[in-house]
Amino acid sequence: MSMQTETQNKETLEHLKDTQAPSTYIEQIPEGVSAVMETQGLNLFYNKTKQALKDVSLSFRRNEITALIGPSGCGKSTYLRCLNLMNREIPNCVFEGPILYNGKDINTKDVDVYEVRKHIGMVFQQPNPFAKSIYENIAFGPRMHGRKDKNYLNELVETSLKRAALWDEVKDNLDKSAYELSGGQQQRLCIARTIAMKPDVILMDEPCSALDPISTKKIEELMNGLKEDYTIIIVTHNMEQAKRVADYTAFFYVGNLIEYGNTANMFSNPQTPLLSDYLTGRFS
Amino acid sequence: METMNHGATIEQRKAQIAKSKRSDKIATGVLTAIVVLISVVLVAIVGYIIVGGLPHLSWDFLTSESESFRAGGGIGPQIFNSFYLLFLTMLVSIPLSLGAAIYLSQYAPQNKVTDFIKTIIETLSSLPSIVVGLFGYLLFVLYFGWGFSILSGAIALTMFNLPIMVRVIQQSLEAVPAYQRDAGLALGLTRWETTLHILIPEALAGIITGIILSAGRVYGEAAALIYTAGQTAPEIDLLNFDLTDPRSAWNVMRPAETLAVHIWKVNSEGVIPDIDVVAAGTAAFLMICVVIFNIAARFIGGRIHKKVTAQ
Ligand SMILES: Nc1ncnc2c1ncn2[C@@H]1O[C@H](COP(=O)(O)OP(=O)(O)O)[C@@H](O)[C@H]1O
Ligand SMILES: [Mg+2]
Repeated sequence: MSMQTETQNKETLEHLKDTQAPSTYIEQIPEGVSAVMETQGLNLFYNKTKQALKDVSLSFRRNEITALIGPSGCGKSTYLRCLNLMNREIPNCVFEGPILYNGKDINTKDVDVYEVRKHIGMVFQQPNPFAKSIYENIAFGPRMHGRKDKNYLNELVETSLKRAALWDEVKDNLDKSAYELSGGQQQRLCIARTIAMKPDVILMDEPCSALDPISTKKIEELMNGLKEDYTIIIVTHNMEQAKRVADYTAFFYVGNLIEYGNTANMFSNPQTPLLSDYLTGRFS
Repeated sequence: METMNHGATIEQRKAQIAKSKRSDKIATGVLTAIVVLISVVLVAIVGYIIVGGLPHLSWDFLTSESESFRAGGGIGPQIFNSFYLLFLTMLVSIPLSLGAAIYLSQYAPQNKVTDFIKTIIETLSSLPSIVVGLFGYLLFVLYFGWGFSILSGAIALTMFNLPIMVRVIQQSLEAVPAYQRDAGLALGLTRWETTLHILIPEALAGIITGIILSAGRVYGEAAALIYTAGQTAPEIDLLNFDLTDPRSAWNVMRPAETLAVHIWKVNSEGVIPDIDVVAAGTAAFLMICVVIFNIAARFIGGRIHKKVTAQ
């Protein structure tokens, strides 16, 4: 990056901080198309003062994959963690504005966050299986929520592993520690663990960024199959990945939602100067 | 002439590599020597104590009462007292320290008050045991009127033990990566369920090691007990379960000299003719016990860890 663009970058940043409304383009969801989740004017502050999300209004269509893209530090993970209320676990993190799940606001005081997280699962950037056997990693969650029936759990483990394209590799070693799996296998195990909860929505925060290209490809392929039953929201810093897997894409910049629309349209024909600069590599 | 990245010739670079290989060898040699030296000293001490005392260990010595003036006394009551005090101390310390460590690592708000409490615990964990002993003497023995008793001793030992156990358990819990906790919460588990079913199993090896090490310290502790559990080992009856009877082994209000206190007392004010024999025998027995617990508990800890983590 040349000195000049760096300075320009800084200027854009300063500019964004000064003016409340950068030029944005948000494609509206047509009447009659169902949105499974939606945020309306979501604001978030870390340490009560540091604003990390500004007035983000965004809807997620059911059974589609939506990618959240943007330069690092722009608030993608922060936004994702609002959707299953994980930000409530961070001390002094305050976020306000309706977060609708199936039309009902879950960002309220009396909501049961544990119930919400059963329906809205999450896969993390770093594969994080439990220090338990492969079988236990999957059966654990449902069992903690009261599903104790052995036959049910056996079947659940098998179907979940199959959906996560891991069954063939581990079916003879279900008692082995999850830590003996490769990074890519561990991440698919984490996906299986999430599926086993029978969620509605699956949130993924850069699920492939710690993986090799072959493992990445496997996960991208299985995501396509999951679409039939789940709504997937995936954060990725990899624009090629967004193009490959996502039906819709949302572009964030310094806490603002700048552009949202159909993935193919957005990449071929960006509507905002910020996105077009980002796509041409003027900043990253 | 061919040059390397930083302008050095190949010859210069080769000389440099040869030199660093040499220093690597020297460093390895020095470090190995230090470790060997430490091991030799430790083995020598342990060996000296065990070899010197082993000939005096007989069934009779281990089971009979100690004598005050004549030769030929044993350490039966002291052995029982040591284990009983250890058991009572751990019974109180383990749940309290687990609770405190879980609170401090998972629930406490991140603020100055918490930091202050953590600093206090750190300070307390380096408190000299004689200070704990004298404090216990003033508070439990005199002020509460518990006298020289197992109860006073066990509570003093708990005070001495608790800060270290809290720290070790807290550190083992904090060593579990934050994304493990997030994984549990994201499955809709509560903080408590996450702590109980994910964090504790993963931290178990560290927790057990911490408990064993502090058990060894408690078992061999003398200074905290001299003025709390007392320096006398009255005749006791293991089969007497009347907890108010001063002759019952299980009565927590009776004085109870332990092995470590016995060694100290025999050496400092003993008038028996066979001081050397009794002291050497007791020390050897104490040492063997500590070694056995460490090995056994490590083994058990390893097995438990394997079982809960499938590793
Ligand atoms: N726990 C936190 N406390 C304070 N600031 C945070 C925290 N997490 C993230 N941030 C800040 O919020 C902004 C957005 O971060 P993040 O959502 O992680 O970005 P992205 O995922 O797009 O890379 C960054 O400036 C980051 O430093
Ligand atoms: Mg991120």
